[in-house]
Amino acid sequence: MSAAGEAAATPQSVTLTLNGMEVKAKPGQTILEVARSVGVDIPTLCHDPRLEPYGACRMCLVEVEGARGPMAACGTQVREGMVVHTHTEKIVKLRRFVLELLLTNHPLDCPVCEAAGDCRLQDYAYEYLVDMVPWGWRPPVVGEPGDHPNIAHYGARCILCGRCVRICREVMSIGCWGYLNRGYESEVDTPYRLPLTEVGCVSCGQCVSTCPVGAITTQRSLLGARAWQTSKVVSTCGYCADGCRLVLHSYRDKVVKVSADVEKGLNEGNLCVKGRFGLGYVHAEDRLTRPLLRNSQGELVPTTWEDALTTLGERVKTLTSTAGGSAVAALCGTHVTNEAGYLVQKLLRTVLGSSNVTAEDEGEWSAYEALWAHGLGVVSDGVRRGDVRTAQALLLVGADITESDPVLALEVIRAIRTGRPVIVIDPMKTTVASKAPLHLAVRAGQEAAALRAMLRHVVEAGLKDEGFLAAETADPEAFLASLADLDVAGEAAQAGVDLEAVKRAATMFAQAASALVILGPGVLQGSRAKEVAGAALDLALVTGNAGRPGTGVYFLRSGANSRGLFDMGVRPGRLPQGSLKDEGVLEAAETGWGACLRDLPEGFGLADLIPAIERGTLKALYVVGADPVLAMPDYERTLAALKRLELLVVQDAFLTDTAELAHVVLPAAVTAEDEGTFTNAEGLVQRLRAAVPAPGEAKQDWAIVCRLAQVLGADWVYSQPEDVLREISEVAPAYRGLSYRELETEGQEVAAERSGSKLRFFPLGRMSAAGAADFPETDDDHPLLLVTGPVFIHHGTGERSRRAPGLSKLLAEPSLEINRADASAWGLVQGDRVRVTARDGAALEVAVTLSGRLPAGMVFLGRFSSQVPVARLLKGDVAAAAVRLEKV
Amino acid sequence: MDEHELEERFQELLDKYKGEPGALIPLLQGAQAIFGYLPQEVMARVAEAAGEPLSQALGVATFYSQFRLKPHARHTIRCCHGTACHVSGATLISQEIEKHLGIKAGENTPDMFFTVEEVHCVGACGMAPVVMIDDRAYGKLTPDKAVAAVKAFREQKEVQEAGGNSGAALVAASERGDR
Ligand code: SF4
Ligand code: SF4
Ligand code: SF4
Ligand code: FES
Ligand code: FES
Repeated sequence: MSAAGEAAATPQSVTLTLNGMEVKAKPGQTILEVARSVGVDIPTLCHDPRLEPYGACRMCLVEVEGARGPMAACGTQVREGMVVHTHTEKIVKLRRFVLELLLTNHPLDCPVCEAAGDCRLQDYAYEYLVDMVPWGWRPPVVGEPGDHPNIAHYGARCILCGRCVRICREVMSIGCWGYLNRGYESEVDTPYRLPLTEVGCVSCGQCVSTCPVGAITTQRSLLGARAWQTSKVVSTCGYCADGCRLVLHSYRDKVVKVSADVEKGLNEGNLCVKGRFGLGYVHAEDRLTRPLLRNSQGELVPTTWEDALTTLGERVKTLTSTAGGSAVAALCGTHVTNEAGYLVQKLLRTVLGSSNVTAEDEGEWSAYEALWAHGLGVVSDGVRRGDVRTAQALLLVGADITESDPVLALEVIRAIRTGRPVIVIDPMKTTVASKAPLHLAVRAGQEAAALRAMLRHVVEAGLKDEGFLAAETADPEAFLASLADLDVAGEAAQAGVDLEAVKRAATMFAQAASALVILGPGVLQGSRAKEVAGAALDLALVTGNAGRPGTGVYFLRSGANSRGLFDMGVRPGRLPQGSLKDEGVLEAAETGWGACLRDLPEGFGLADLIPAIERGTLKALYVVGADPVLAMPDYERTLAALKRLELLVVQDAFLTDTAELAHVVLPAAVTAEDEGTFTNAEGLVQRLRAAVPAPGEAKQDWAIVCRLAQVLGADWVYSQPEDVLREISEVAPAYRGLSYRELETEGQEVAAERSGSKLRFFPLGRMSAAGAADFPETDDDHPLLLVTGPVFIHHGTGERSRRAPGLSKLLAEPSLEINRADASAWGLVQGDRVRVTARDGAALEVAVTLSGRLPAGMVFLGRFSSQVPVARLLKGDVAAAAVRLEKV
Repeated sequence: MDEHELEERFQELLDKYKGEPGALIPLLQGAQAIFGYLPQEVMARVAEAAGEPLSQALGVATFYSQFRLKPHARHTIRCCHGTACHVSGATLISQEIEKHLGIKAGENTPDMFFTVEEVHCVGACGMAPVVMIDDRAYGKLTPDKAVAAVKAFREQKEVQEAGGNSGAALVAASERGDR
């Protein structure tokens, strides 16, 4: 083969010799990667696979035959025929020298150092037989750790590897840490040594996770434990739908630390503040440890399981014998496991005879369900993290992704850093919008108009994918014809965005080799959800961005098991086997469960829950891990309705605002005490493992549901959650073949349901032109539009996050974010307290934060507090309200 | 120049480089030329205009000795601590000067007359140990001579700055200093 030929054809693999072994490697891999893949350990200090190679510490030097000197394994790519020695005498000596130099400048305060037992310098000094430092050593320096609640910084221990500097810049795109001075004076610190909270830190602890020594660590706490004292189990984060893989470290029945393996899981060692520092709620003082029963004086008093379940069973039986099974409904929170969720719906359907079963986030699925028939299986279900990573263009709509999905957001940040077009459609200047090349700051509720404008421009400018349209879609001509009377300028004007910007967005999206749309909670509520998702689907189809890697529509979900609960049939219209409307599904379920389902009265969903109680048709509600009082709109109405129930049963780890109204409260385990599985937003099923036992008499959700079913006469025999998953794998087609054994080491993707037929467009033509109709109209009396949404330090309505000191110390109470111009118009400054009043007179008092991300006329309030129940101000199915402010 | 004018020139500078890659160093230089040093608020705005985190801008500003993060007094005493000066007693000389002025290296005298700095080789090793006051070099110093040079420099400048620009006084002062 000629040299030219060799260069032209990219070789599939290269062969090298590593310590005498012949090893095959992929071209482009570094010596370090190849060595690690075959179990040869090369020591590293400045390397982290999450970061670009840096080559500063010289610990990873190896000998390469024929090279002029030792090479850094972390930054040297393998070549065909390379002969590498990793542990020659010379190399070992060099490494020892590097370590001696470092130790000369390093305080040897290991007994009081947070990192002892988990410190590379300590490990390598031992491994490389450094016994005495020839130049003497520094006395222990402890210093002040800084006042961040979770992150400690001891500059004296820093070895200047730069990993914290780089991870905060390269991965987080923030840059809290930097080098100061040079030469012998060099150090790593925040600019002007400001507290982290003043330099934009999001408290993710990524710097903690990468620091190889004890210079950036977690704050020490009383009764902490050394690395070698803790037990470790692998589990899955219970907050957002990203499904980060966690390692839970426990000591004496307490979770003392959370980490993540860099080499494993979707998150590749990355976590957000909730995953890393948000587990404190597990040991919160107010955990429920015994069942509670409301006595004749109306007080909730502790009782035994026996008593609680018997009483509960009797009441349910009495109630259903007169009112029928459909007088009962169940509502699950989004962190209920697949196993427990499956059992809840099976209990309702086969034991009680009710289809009224749903999850707290049902509303956010309406668009997905409505578009299912249009071939979403291809356009959406198969879209995975890898597609977000490889997509050549990303379009985020209503997705404040750094707040809602902080680790998935890192993929978007990476796209921006690598210069790929990222387009944001959002009224708010979200964190991503402020970094992205293009932000279409639409008027509230007008996302669909912006998408239509893009779509129409794609067609007008001849940017559509003709081949794809002809081969993959049904009747493209009719669809394209239906767009004829759309006017790009008109739609852009309706959206309130610049025409040229819209055209640029459309061109970027259409011309990318692959492009992907991410739809977030900002557009998944209310009637416009369907409109936005429909336009996104059409845009994907017209540009040929479906069914191949790096394309499609990705739906963000709000909780750790949002997707799993949908899959488990925790919906009135669905079964684990599929849609209830499908005769085949129904038959399969009936034979599988040996129950008659076709005569069940039609179930009602979340939106009808409160009206059904008010009508008197719903008499009993079983709430599992949810807090509808705070989660549903219209606080007072929810409260009043729940109080009308004949039986309210709440199963939770805490006495939530809803549990306070309950007749029976069942104490449940939390994620870190639970066994089972979660399915993340993209369909990855992962294990949950108990790191610690549940406190007192609290039990795992699945076990409580089982006991309840037995009390109600079911002959269920599940002795462990694994038995439940086995049944799920038999009845739910997408989960076929899954078992705990399969899930032992890594998660498994649920099969995407691929419709064989051609993809169908969503008929834009029949779409309403006024998406903003979802939003309450503002007027002179109530001129501001209050919106709410995710806040990265908390989750949902905050039952767990606000009980985690690692989170609540960072953000205890929500504050009203307001645009600077509005603030000065209202005569407000940072920190003022205001009364926020909705049109019906409902009001709340909060502090004010001036914010650069909100457009004029819009204010924002997080929902994570029970002291400030934002639900009080909200009406209807879109979380928004027209409000006015008064300084108090 | 009044504050308003400084701000105007600074804004012009920021606008000129906004969005340009690799603009950090020219921005830092330009800002220093305007303000004489780089105050914290200026650093923050430079970083923003350069599209770099503040930590990076500060890293660069503290890496190169041309950048000053603190205001400078009217005159600068630079005590050389290069190898040649070091072995011929630079440490003692620095100590004496610092004692005399009552400040440490990197600080300004309260009347903003002198800033004292420690620097590396100033290229006059032949006459080590060396101290530079502004652009004038004083060599072969002892701690006493160094303090005398500092005193003389101040006298001379005070005469000048007071407007008493007598040629004879100038010559005398400079000769005293140079010896
Ligand atoms: S916690 Fe995260 S944001 Fe804060 S300094 Fe560390 S890496 Fe940066
Ligand atoms: S603080 Fe830790 S990660 Fe950062 S440079 Fe120092 S040793 Fe490296
Ligand atoms: S909250 Fe989400 S992003 Fe954060 S660690 Fe948990 S799963 Fe990951
Ligand atoms: S790990 Fe390779 S140089 Fe630091
Ligand atoms: S070392 Fe001081 S002048 Fe060279």
